[in-house]
Order: sequence, then C-alpha cells, then structure tokens
Amino acid sequence: MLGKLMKYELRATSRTMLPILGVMLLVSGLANLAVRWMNTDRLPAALSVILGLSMVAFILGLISLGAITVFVMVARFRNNLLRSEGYITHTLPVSVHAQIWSKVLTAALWYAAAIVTIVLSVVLLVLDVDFIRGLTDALGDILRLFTDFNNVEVLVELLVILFLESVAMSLMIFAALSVGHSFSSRKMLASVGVFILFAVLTQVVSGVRVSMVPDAGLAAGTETAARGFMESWRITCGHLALGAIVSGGIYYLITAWFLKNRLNLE
Amino acid sequence: MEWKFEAGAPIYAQIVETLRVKIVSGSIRPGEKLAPVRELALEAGVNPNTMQRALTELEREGLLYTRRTSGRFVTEDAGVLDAARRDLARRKLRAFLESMGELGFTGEELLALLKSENISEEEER
Amino acid sequence: MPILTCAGLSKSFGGTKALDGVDLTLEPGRIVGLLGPNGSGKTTLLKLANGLLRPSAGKILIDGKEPGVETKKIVSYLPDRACVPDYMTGAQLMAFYGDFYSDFDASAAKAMMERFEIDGRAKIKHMSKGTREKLQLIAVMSRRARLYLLDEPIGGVDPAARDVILGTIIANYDPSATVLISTHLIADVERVLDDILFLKSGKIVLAAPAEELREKHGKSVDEIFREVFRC
Repeated sequence: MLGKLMKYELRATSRTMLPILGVMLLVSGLANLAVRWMNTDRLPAALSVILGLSMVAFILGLISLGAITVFVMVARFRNNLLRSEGYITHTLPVSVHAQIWSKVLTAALWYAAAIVTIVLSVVLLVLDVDFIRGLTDALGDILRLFTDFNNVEVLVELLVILFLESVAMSLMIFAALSVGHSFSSRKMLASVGVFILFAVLTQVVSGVRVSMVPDAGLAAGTETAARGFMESWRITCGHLALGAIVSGGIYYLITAWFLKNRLNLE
Repeated sequence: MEWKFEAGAPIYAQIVETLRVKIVSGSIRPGEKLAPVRELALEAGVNPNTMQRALTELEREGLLYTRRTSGRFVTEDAGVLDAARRDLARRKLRAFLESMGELGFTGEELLALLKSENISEEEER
Repeated sequence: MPILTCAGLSKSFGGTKALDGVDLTLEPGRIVGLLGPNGSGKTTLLKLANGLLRPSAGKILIDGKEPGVETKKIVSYLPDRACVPDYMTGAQLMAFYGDFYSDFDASAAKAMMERFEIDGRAKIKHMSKGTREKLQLIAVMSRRARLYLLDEPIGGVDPAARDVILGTIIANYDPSATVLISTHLIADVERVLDDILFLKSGKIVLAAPAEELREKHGKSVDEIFREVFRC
C-alpha cells in the first residue's frame, strides 16, 4: 500500500514541483545568456542595471527554492490529511504509518531534487568555456580528494546524514501540523506555535547533548590530517545521525498518535 | 419516481393495491412475466424489501406465482382473476356507497343519477 | 452477526456531548435511515464509524472490529461535504478508488458515469457542484462494500438529482450489505428505508421498521418525525 500511496503523492506534488524546478533551470539558462551579454561592453547602463537586478532576483529565487519545497510539502500534508480531503485519505484501508511514510519519503525525494536543481542552476548560470575547463579540473580535484581518503564512504555517509536530517525535519513539521490541527480553531496559527516550540526544544536538547559529550575528534588537531579529518567526521556523523533518529522518532510518534486519536477535520 | 403513495398507510399495502388494479384490469396481462424485484422497486422508487413483501402478499392471494428458475408471473387462472376483480369492485363500491350515504343519497336517487350520467356520457361520444 | 454495533457510545467535544450513550445494532440487508435535525449527532456517529474520531466512552464495532484498516476495507463512506481531490479527472478518481479498494467495480463506475453523462476526462475542479456530488456518490456506490455510510447524500441537490441518487441506492441494493443514510430530509427518503433511527441531542429516541411506524401511527415517518422533534 505504501507504493500506491507514493504513486499518488508523487503525482500530486509533481503538479507543482516539476514546473517550479523546470522554471528554475530555464531561468538559469536565460541568466547565463544575460551574463554573457553584460560582459560585452556595448550595453546601455539602464539595461545593465535591470539585468543586474534580475540577476539578484534570480539568486534570491535560487536560495528560496528550499523554502518553496518545504512549503509545497506542508501544503500537501495539510490538504491531504488535515482538511476536507482527509475524509477520503483517512478512510482508505491504509495504516496511519504508511500515510506518514509516504509523505516523509516523498518530501525527501523533492528535497533531493531541489538540491540537484540548485546545483544545476548554478552550473547553468556560470556555464562558460572557461568554466567547463575549471569544472573538469575541480571534478578531478574532488575525485582525488575522495581517493586520497581511500573511500567513497564520506560521500555515502553525507547522503545518509542528509536523508536522515530531511526525514527528521519533515517529521517535526508534520508533528507540529498534526498537533496544531487538533485545535478547534486557528489551526494554522496553532501549528506555527507548536512548530516554534518543537524547534526550540530540539535546539535546547541538542545543545545540552553536545555540551555533555565533547567532540574529542574535532578538537584533536595533532594527528595526521587524514586521520584527524576522518575521525572527527565520523563522530560528527554519528552525532547528527543519532540526533536525527531520536528526534525523528519522537516526532513520528507524535504525528501518528495525533492523526489516529486527535483528528479534527473541518 | 412515478408511483404516488399516501402518507398514513404502509407502503407495501399501497403497492399491493396498485399492482392488484394493474393485474385485474389487464394492464399487466395474465401469464405475463414481472420484472425482477429490484427493477420494480426502482420503478416505484421504494425499498426492495418493501416491494418483495408486496409481491409475496400478491402470491399469497394467488394473483402471482413463481417459477423457481424463470421468475415471477401473473396468474392465468381466469377464475382467480375474476374473483379478485369482483372483490376489488365490491370494495370500491362499498366505499362509494358510504360516501354517497354521507351526502344523503338514497339507493333510488343514486340509481337515477347513475342512469342520467350514463346517458349524458353516451351523448358526449 | 450485526455489521455495526454501538454500545454506550458517547462523544464529547469540550464540554458538549455530541453523542450520549448510543446503543445500536445494524443487520445485513437493511436500508436504514439515521434521522435527526442538524446538530443531533448524525455526522459524529458516522465519523466514529469511520475512525475519523475516537469515542469518549463506549464502543463502536464494525463486523466485530474497532474501526481500523480492516473495517475500512468493507465500509464505503460518503462524507457530508465535497472532498474529492479536485485536480483529478473523473476517470482518475475512479482509478484511485480502484487502486485502494479491492471491492471496487470499475465497470459499474463506468456504466454509472455514462448514465449520468459525466465526462471522465474533465477535471473535477471544472465540474458543477451537483456533478461533483454525483461523481463522489458513483465512487462510493461502485464498491461492493458490506456497509455503506451515506452522510446527507441528498442534502442540497435538486429533485432530479435526488431521484437519481435514491435510484442508485435502490439499484445497488444487495441483501448482504447494509446502507445507513443520514439525513434531515425525511419525506424524500422514507420510502426507500427499511428501518428508522431517530437521533435527538445525541440519543437514539426511536428505532423501528418504517412500515411498522406508518401502520401503528397511521402517519408518514416524516409526520412522526415532526412530532418527535417539535420544539
């Protein structure tokens, strides 16, 4: 059933996400042309100002892509599970766990797609003959970096951490929405309030945890560079993963309990 | 939803009455096969269980009979049909007489009235 | 075995009791009217049966089980509001139901859509309110469910659509299934009902076969309702 749910999640979210990501890439391409044009000196000053401004707007858009993706995921969760469409979603013969996982995994997928789009957009923006030469050099460097450390492990670990963090973040948002929408009125306001509460709590707890478990590896600068990096990297990863799993687990339980027992559809 | 029902009486009884009139008047012919219960219920706009109950009642009276595999039919027994027709007529007549009695008509007066009605109807034709 | 059982079922919101100690059993093969004025607790009862709410006290069982994944497989629910995802087309909505409910009869859905002259390729957001309601009813009635829970299926539709909806309910009658219709428009539905439940301020005040009520009181159920609920 999770597979079927995912199918409809992807279908529903790609309606908004694909056009957004597509427009981003398209604008990057156009911006690239604009940059080339600006570099030629034959441009009137006014036009160059306008182009400069639109460039700033583009960069802001790029930065806000992450926020837009989060917003789309919030809207989907809310509309599909907590508003009138919830009458249909919650009467499907599907467990609340499958419902939550379908939302979390779909969100993770779109966050990944957003990151890829941002990277691609930047590449597109500065795409130039020189740049490509630079890029291949840089790629070689990055590749060498990994082979120096003698593994692809770092990359895999990085991806795992990113995935866990995205899941934990989604669950915190979903938990806040589920709790906020159990209120009888001002559901969205309540959700925001609960979210802020959760965010502060999470920060406090992780702060306390970090102060209690000093990061020995990060402080140790005496060992050889490679070994020191790997060790501190491992410890950091371990901490981040543990934090994501614990907080994600708690927010998962909150979301499931509220969806099951405190559903309050309009 | 074609069929009309009175408010105060059970619907099944009103269906029995409606179907009985259709059968004895020949608007559903002797030996004719009836539509399935669900279709009849749909036509009348009533609950299928109510329609079933009405049909069972008509079966009990002998106006309908069921052939196990092929469905429900109107009886071809002319005797049963005629008896039911007369019975129906008698009941309607009694009700008619009662209401005429309320208006103060005597038997003689009624007969005379019926005759003159009959004549004027024929003249119209 | 009854398809639906309530025992001492209560539900409170804050301080107000929406349902107050409801005892009830529904048997297979019956079309049952859950009748009561607005705010009498009809929608709350149906939401409890669908697991959209949890009881404050007492029990509600469907086929002997508490509302959950298993009961949702055999319950077909028409909520009292339009709630289908409007970015889908009619045909996509039917495919959605077919994907999740193994008892969904796609050919029945197609036939009903043709009968109602609904274009399956049109987006739901471009359909009129009446068409949307019919579409939702088609999706719900195309399932071969054991229990249909219809919340105000004829509320706010024109008389022609009302006849179509009641006709659909009669045409889909199945002796092994139960249909519970909640409504306050009694005159319109009473002729399709086997049994009557009167709900007043969260309590069942009358439960009897419709024909028995008409025979005993010499009145239509609608008239009896007006007497029971006269203020």
